[in-house]
Amino acid sequence: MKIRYRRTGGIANIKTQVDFDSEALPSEKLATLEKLLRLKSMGKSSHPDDFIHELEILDDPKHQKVRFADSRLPHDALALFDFLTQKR
Amino acid sequence: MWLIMRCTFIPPQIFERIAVAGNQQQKRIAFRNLLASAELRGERRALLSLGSRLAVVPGVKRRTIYDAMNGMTLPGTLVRGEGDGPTRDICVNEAYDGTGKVYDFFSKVFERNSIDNKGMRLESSVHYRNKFSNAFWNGQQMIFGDGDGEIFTRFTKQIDIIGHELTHGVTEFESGLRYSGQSGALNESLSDVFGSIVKQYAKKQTAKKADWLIGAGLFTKKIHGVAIRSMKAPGTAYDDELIGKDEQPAHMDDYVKTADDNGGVHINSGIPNKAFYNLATALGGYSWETAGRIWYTALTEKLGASATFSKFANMTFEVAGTLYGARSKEQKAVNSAWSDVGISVE
Repeated sequence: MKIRYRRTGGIANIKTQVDFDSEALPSEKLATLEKLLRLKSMGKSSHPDDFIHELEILDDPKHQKVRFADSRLPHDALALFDFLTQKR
Repeated sequence: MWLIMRCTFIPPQIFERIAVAGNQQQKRIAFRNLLASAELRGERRALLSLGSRLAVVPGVKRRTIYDAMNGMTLPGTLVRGEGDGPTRDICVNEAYDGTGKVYDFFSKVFERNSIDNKGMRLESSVHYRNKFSNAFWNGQQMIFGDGDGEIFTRFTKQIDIIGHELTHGVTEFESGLRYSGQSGALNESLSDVFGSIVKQYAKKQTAKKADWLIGAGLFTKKIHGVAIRSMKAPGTAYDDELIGKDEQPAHMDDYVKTADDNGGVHINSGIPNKAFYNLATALGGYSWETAGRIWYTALTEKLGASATFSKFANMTFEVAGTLYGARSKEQKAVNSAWSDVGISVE
């Protein structure tokens, strides 16, 4: 799958965007990605200045998107997003 | 006679708010209005109730700083409490001193007793996660990251960032402005406004001397930018190859419709930010004395969770009329400040 990861929000609202191929991910990161894509969005955060993370499947005709508030994400999801942005 | 006549036109809740939040002269006038009005209606019980609210209970500053030790568990390990001396950790000391300055500002200028106006303890966690490039208010405490060292320095460094986060707490307790779309952008703007005023108050700067930047010095020297936002000139704070360009608008004609960032809360906040800058610089002097008081009184009125820019603009116009008189220079300046950003008040 071709995936686009985007992060917006935070007090500075500096946008981060990374396009990647899921097949290039290490197995544990791929498992986390697949778990996140099965989840419903959790993008509405009650916390001001929280980061918002978004995953979009680019090669899906419907361009499925899921959004997550940073403060509601488990550690493995945050580790995946850190991994993606460090690879940028 | 004049005071009693005014009561017939201005809702008592406006006077009640001014009696609590106004300066000493405004409080006296508001209280006399309420007294006259209540006596006419025979509402002795209402006066007793107001009297208890006006009895200023001295607030006690209670700061607690925790070290999250680059983990996710909050609040972390207690490293400095109220009255404790400085530690060797600059982030701990900056969070302690910064929250103290914000507390003092709200206490001395608006007689507000901490974030909730009930003496809430100010808790902060520093060193949250690894290279975390953010600061936020989670409804209970402030959380500060160290920055990644590439784009951002530490988030405890700037007093306006600390003021911004604590004002989110004030807004949450006062109006609960919904954090999306226009109400979310208003929420963000109020945090920028009071964050900037806190900095000006700490530096004893007039509106004309202030830089009106939010987070000046937050970027590393690798980034081409002076701050994360400019209230004076929204959209000009940074323009950099790595992080892009500041996209804040300064006028309703350029309002950005987007699903990003909770509907552009950090983007469209440029519009009310500019309106406040317009007002403060038009009035001159210290921004917290008049412009800040108008904004604070409007914020602490019954703003409503879904308030729009227009609703808030109209509230500031109404408050300016109540505090300084209908068609006063202050009220006219409020009208001009909003008109300049494309929002008309009635």
